[in-house]
This record gives sequence, C-alpha cells and structure tokens, in this order.
Amino acid sequence: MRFVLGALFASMLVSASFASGTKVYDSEIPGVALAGTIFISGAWTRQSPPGVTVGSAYFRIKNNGDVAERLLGGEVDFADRVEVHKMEMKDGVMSMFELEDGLTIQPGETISFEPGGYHLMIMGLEEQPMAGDIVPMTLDFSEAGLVDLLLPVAPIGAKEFSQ
Amino acid sequence: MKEVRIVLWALVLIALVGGGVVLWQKNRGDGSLVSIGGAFTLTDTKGERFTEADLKGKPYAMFFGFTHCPDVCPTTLWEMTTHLKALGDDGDRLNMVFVGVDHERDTPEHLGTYLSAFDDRIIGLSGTEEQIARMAKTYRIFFERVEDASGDILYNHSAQVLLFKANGQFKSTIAYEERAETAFEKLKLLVD
Ligand SMILES: [Cu+2]
Repeated sequence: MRFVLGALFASMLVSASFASGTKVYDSEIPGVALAGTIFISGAWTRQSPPGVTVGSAYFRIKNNGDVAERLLGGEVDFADRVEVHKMEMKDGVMSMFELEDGLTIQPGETISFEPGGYHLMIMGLEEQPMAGDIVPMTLDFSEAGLVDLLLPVAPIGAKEFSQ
Repeated sequence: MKEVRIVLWALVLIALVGGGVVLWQKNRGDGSLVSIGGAFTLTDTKGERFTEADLKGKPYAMFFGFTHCPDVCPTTLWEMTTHLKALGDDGDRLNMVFVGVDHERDTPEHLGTYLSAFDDRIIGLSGTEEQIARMAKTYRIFFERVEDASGDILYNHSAQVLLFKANGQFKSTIAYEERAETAFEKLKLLVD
C-alpha cells in the first residue's frame, strides 16, 4: 500500500519537476523513484551478517518509455562499488556473475530484482546498514542518468522486505 | 511387430542398466542407494579439530556456503535459525552444520563472528583448501572459486541442505527453492 501511494505521489512530483525544468525527480519516499520514463518500486536491501563486506539490493524496474534503457550500476556512500549481478540455480548449484555491460530493460518491460535472481551487489561495505535503517543509493542508467533512491533495510537473511 | 520388439529390447536394456547402477551403488559398501557423506576433518569456530565422529549420535543437517555470499547463505541460515527456534528443545537433538568453503576468508574466528547472527546451535566449520575439497567430494558438493573483473572472490556452490541420520547415513536434501513449511517438516521428521 505504501509503495502504491508512493508511486502516486512520485508521479505527481515528477510532473512538477518537469514543469520547473530542473533535473528529474529523485524520490524521498523509501523504495520508490521515478526518473524520466524509468519507474523503480519496492526497493530494499538487507543487513549483512557481522564481518561480511558484501550486501545486495532488490527492486522492480519498469521502463515506461519507447527506447531501451540500461541499468549500468550504482553507487552508495557506505561501500566501494555497486554492481549488477545475476544469480542462477541450476541442478541445485547457485552461481552468480556480474553483468558487466549492465542490464537492458526494453520499452514497456518490468524486471524484478529479487533473491535468487537479479540483484545489485554491494561490494566492499565500509559501514553496515542495519535493519530498520533507510540508506541512500544512486543508480546509473544509460538514458535516465543518475537516479537517487532510498532503500529500507531488512533484517539479516530476509527473503523479502516486509513492514 | 518390429516396433514391439524394439520396445521390448529397450525395456530389457533399461532393466540391465538400472540393475547395474543399483548394484554398483550397493557395492560402495554402506548399503545406501547413493553414497553421500563419510569421513572429514575440519576445524570448528573454537579452533578445535572436528570430524564426522563429532556429529554421530544425533541426526544432522549440513549446508555448504561462504560467508561473503550475498544471498543464498544468509537466507538459508536464517531459515534454519527460524526452524531451530520452532523446533525448540527438539532442536537440541539435531546437529546443524555450516561449512565455509572459502578457505581464505572463512577462518574459524570469522565464522564464529558471522554465525553469532544466527541460532547459536549452528556449528561452523572451516578447513584448508585440501580439507574442504576432499569433504566436498565425499559429500557430493560442488563449489568453484570465481574471481571477477574487479578482483572480488565469489563462490558458486551447491545450495541444498543435506540431511543425515544419526548413524551418518544420508537421508535426503532440502533444496533452496523448497517452501519453508516443507523444510521444517523434513527437519521434524529427522529428529523424531
Ligand atoms: Cu552477486
């Protein structure tokens, strides 16, 4: 519900920012962002177990435009790098790899990043986001450019974000 | 008529091959149909030597992973933590083991810190490259070390939890995709 409201709110704001000719909207609502024709919702990350320097983030991306978009990566101030990764299960074996050229989202397409599949891999954590925190992340798109996003932090080992 | 003959011969062939596989597995000695499990030597989070003998007497559940795993390992360990809590005291009649396959980073000390976020009954085991490789072979676990373009080390690895009876005989697995309820039922059956 919160995300739906957030989406509505975000779409109201984006028209405002287009009108004023400033940069595209960066949402202040956790988990939601709208930039150009890219709509991000349901974003979250999770606390990593103690001593671990990696984390991951998940969300849905919808491309409302008529050109293909590419998610190239991202940036956070609490870690070294943010990479686009894909995890695959085959015959019970988990394998994971970086999508070095990013991930293309076709016009009209929605792609879900979720445990067990696509994720943003946060490498070289300098600070641990803790469950209940809200942390900022900037995503880098080929067309929409840099998009700021706020990620609520789920507890260690969570498979989804629930309020 | 010719088709019938082909089908019959095919059946004979299947029976022969099938029988041969079963025999071959039976001949491996432990009587179980598939040979998974056996001897290993690793180190626990207190730095003590730990072998399969330390597990026997209780049924055990075993999961292989690495602490710098972003997803499958913490979610599985958290699920196991939830199951252990739900089992309550019955959980004491089960050994839950996490083997860190990353011999460089999954040291006893680091594993201890890592596991402090999960149920304290989970046993963390570390090993040398050779010890881990040998155990993975015995337990039919696949893992491979991958270094990505930025020099980060990740492991691809089998993601199922292996379940063993108290005598060390392999019983079944819990797959990563399996529902939490099914996984819990399997653990409950294991301690009953
Ligand atoms: Cu990854």
